[in-house]
Amino acid sequence: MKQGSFRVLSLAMGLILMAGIAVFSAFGDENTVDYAAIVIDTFDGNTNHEWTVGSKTYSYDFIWKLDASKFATKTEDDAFPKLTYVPSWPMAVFGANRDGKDLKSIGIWGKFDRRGYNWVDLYPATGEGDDQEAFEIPIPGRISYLDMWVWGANLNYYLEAYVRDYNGVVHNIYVGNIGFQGWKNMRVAVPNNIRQSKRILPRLAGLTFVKFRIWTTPLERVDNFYVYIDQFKVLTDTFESLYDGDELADPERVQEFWANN
Amino acid sequence: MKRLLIISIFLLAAGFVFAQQSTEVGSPDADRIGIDAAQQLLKEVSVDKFEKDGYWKSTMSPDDGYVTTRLFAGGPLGKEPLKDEEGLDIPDKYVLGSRVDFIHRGYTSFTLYPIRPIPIEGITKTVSVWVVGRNYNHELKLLLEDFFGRPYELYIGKLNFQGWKKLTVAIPPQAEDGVNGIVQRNYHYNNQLGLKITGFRIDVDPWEAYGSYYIYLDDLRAVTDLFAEDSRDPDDMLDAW
Repeated sequence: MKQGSFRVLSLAMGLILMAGIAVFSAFGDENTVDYAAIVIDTFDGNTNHEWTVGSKTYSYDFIWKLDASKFATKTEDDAFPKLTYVPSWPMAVFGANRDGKDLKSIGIWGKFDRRGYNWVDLYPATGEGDDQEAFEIPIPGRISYLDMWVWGANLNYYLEAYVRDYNGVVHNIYVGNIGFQGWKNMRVAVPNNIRQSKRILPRLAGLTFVKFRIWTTPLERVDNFYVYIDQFKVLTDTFESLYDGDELADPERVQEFWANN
Repeated sequence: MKRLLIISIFLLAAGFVFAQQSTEVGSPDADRIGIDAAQQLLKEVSVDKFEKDGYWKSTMSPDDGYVTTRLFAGGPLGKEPLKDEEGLDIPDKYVLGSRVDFIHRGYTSFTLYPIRPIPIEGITKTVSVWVVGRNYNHELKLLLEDFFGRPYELYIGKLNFQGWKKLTVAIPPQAEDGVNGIVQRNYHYNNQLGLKITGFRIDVDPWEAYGSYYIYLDDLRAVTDLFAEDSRDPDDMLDAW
């Protein structure tokens, strides 16, 4: 091989290599992740929920409420399901709580008149009295996992989590069967078919958390049951690539810019 | 002869007026369907108001298109509240909306279904639903399961109208032998009668199965005979354990 043609070949190889690097760096976002674990609620009874991700602090005020399907037991004196906060917690997370913190978990007490696919919803809500309405928790970033601790009484029920995408479509994610004894960590990956980014800026199209739902199954007893939930957490990818003018795609900044119009 | 003709026209017109007073034109008369008991307690009940997010899903063959379903705020103005629900402040804010994007023309259908079958108390006589039509020749079918879990589909009507319209379908009464037909009665338990709604199927007209198609549903109701449920003793035990 002539020396000149070797130079041409190495130049061509170098160009191909550089083009390859340029292509990969342009699509580099696909592989860049910055996971953050956010505790959405510890169920200690506070209405204010605040979490910090990167330099931003998110603060929401909401309480938890219950709703149930048609055959929930209602008598003259009582109506089920009921909700309360109990001073108990998963030892695996908080240990014996030697510091004496005010730890609690949320409890659901349910009764149904008929067996079958009955359900109990646990959902966030805001407002006071008659103005109270359901509130969907906006979760920062792109969610990878939902994680919570559940106390089960070995009943053959199962748990679902509901999230809403940017199109307004609600997806129900099967979290798992709660037929176990005592506290157990339940973790579920958010499926990739739930879209969390879009073509139009801002690209991030985060999910909002709608509710938890507990389903009873037809062969299981439903006359009296208790379920407790604690330490609701998400693992979310908060990385957003920078580009010239990304400030103009930040919804909060855009609000500020257009506030006086 | 002429006088006779005029009298007969009057009589015919009077007959039409009378018929319209007794029931809405084109809708089945729940009072006359499957009367097999001496006493009936017909009542219109709400089966689903489409208020719960994520309860209704949709599906179609991915060869033919894709379908998206969610809730929207709104509702038909002509909807009359149920008498039993007046003053109870039961939320009725949303309707169910589906969007279908067809990939190509053809004989196809898509299904809207609740994630679990919805039971209706009592012996169901008619089922009604409010639907938005966009004047397509598509056909709406009701999917249901009888007491034995056997699947059935009933033709509700064509969607060739504009705006909201209430469509009603009659449930054919079960056969005398209690085994054949759409069976709704179990003589052991008077609180476990009836049907389960498993969804709606829209069979699309191939001439119009292209582009995007939108459909909205609201206020799924049933007229049902609650005599057996109502005559249940309040001190009777609950078989829920």
